[in-house]
Amino acid sequence: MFPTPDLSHLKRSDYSKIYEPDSDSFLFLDALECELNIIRSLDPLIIVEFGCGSGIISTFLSKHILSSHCSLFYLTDINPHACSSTQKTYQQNNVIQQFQITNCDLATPFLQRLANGVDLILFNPPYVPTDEVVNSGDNLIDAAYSGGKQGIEVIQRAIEQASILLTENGLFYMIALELNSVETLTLIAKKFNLTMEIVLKRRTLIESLIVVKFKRKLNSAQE
Amino acid sequence: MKLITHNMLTSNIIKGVKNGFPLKINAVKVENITVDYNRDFITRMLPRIEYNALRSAVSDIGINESLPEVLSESLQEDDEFLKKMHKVLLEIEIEEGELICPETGRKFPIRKGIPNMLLSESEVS
Repeated sequence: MFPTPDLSHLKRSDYSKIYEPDSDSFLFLDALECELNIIRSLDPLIIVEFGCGSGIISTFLSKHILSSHCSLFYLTDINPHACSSTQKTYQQNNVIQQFQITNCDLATPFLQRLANGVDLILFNPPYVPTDEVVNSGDNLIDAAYSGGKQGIEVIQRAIEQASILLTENGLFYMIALELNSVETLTLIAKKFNLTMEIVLKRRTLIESLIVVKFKRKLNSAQE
Repeated sequence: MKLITHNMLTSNIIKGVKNGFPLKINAVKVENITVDYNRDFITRMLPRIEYNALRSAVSDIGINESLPEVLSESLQEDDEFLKKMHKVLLEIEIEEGELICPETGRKFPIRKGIPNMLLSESEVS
């Protein structure tokens, strides 16, 4: 087990503005550790994390999984407090790889230039079913939870963006609720010519979480 | 924000904008940050870089770094050139300033090194 990144620089007051790493975040770290050999052999050049929050996931990936690789991380969050927290987290943990943070929605302003060019995508999305998705206003912390109808509105857009961004062998790891999403996610993946598999499952007190992995569907000539 | 990020950003997310690339840069505060040179990284990144956009970014910032006009194949193996690319892509940090959409003039602020590319709903649809 690798140690969790140092987040001691983030205070209680920060967690009123950004998502505090919780059992879902730790499950994500464990999933990356399970996938260590696969991720290392991918030797990713360009990595994108949607909604980087505290920065814990990319910092963990950089420090422990890809420490000897040369990679460039493009990290995004719709919440400016999350962007500055991620900046502090990678500095606090002496990350040596390139972390570039942009305050934006998913990877929208990168889609054109990074199309077919991203080796690895990470996302701990807002997956809690809510009446609507929060993406503006004063309570941006709600953007870390509110997944819209069935909790999949943001997830659906993320899968669509991943289908544009991934390289031929690229991988997209994401957290989801097992409860209502496996079949739905498989259908969405299919629509965008991706395949999905479950990497890790864990039941917590309040929910059953899964980490899923998407990749491009091989075309028939390669099968 | 480093130029390796500027090179990947477009403003065609704004309704009606066709290319939105490259974004113009108005740099107010620029810092030089030393980054360890990694030849393998620069060589792998080079095919992903829009060279002309990088040259115009360098000229927007007004730094004294002359990049050759054309990126020839022989240059891509040239150590001196690769070190120059390393410097321009990774060691220039725009701390404060703005990115400007080349078609609409819409400004995207850069604060504490982080560009804000968020748009309001009325600008998107």
